[in-house]
Amino acid sequence: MPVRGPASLFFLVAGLALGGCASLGPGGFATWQVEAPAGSAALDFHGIPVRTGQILVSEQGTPNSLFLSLLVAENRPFVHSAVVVVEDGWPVVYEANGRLRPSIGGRPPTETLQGGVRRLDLATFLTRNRFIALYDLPAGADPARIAAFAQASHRRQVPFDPYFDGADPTRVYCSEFVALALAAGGVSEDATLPLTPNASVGVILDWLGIRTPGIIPPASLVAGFSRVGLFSRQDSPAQMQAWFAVKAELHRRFTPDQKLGNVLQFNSWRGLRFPPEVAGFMDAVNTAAAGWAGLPDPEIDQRVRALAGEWLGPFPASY
Amino acid sequence: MRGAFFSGWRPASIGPVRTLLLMALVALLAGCIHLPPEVAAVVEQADPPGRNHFRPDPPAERAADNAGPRPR
Repeated sequence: MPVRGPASLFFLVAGLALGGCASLGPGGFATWQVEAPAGSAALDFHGIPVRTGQILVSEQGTPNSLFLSLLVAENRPFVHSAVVVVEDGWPVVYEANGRLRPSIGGRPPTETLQGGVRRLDLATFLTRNRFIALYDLPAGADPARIAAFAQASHRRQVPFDPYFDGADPTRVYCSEFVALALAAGGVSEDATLPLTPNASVGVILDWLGIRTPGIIPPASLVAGFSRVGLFSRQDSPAQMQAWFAVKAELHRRFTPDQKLGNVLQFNSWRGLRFPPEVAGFMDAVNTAAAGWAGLPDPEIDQRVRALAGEWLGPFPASY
Repeated sequence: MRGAFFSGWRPASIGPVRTLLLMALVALLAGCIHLPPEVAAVVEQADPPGRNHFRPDPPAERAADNAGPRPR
């Protein structure tokens, strides 16, 4: 999934290419947490055991990330996914990526969005995205078929699908592309979740021409998979967990009657942005979480919820 | 000849060209950012406190609730 502003509502993987391997590894990353043993068949990439067919999920932590999360009725971490393939001893990533193109006349961004399946170095992927998790395939999956699907999609230049239409495989969005790749490799769980019943999101989806009943959240694709590692250049593991707790809290408060403008506002020149209260809450959490190293996840979640009460006002725990 | 060509554009005629380019850029950007009224109503405006789950009550009401000062 992609996105930026309403006009940029779809630049999920936009980011500047900061690329390069020089800073890869624990020294250049606040989180470089490898959790899986190397194994004999894996490529050792700066300490990460990399195998063909592994799945990456990621997120930028931007207003666009939150917008994409709020499209789905249930909260899930991460809003982007991709497939790892080792080619000639070098790890690359295949992903479906959308790019916004300017338009005259105020057409919805879904009409001008371009892009499609592309290939980039794993190193570039790791440095471009803010929060990243890498997962191994489950037993029985066929990584060669997954790689073949990804490479063939790239060769055919399969275009990006800004309408999230899972019934149309001729265009794909990021997690649809990964789901199809997994299905090619024998992993075909239906990971689609229904869209939010929120009325204001419905107005925007109508304008964008998005008619799909459901979207595949990237985290649902890897449910039950074994995690290989967590990576973030600027955020510690506690800050990563805190960000996803922030998103969960915002999602919890975004009840069907809430206007999208309460939690995300559109500015003509700057696109989507967080309102001051929400931005202040996020900053307070990120600052506090810098000192939460070693806390268990439930404790972090609880502290984030307490800060939400202070910054955003009280909200019943029962929602 | 080349000097004459460029001198013909400087400085008197660069102004209109620049204005034209600026107008084209503004038109382009305006095309990018235009939102229909119904969409603008849900992304450019927020509900007031009390109906907004992301905005605390005003300080006076918070004080009445003995909620204490807002953290900074």
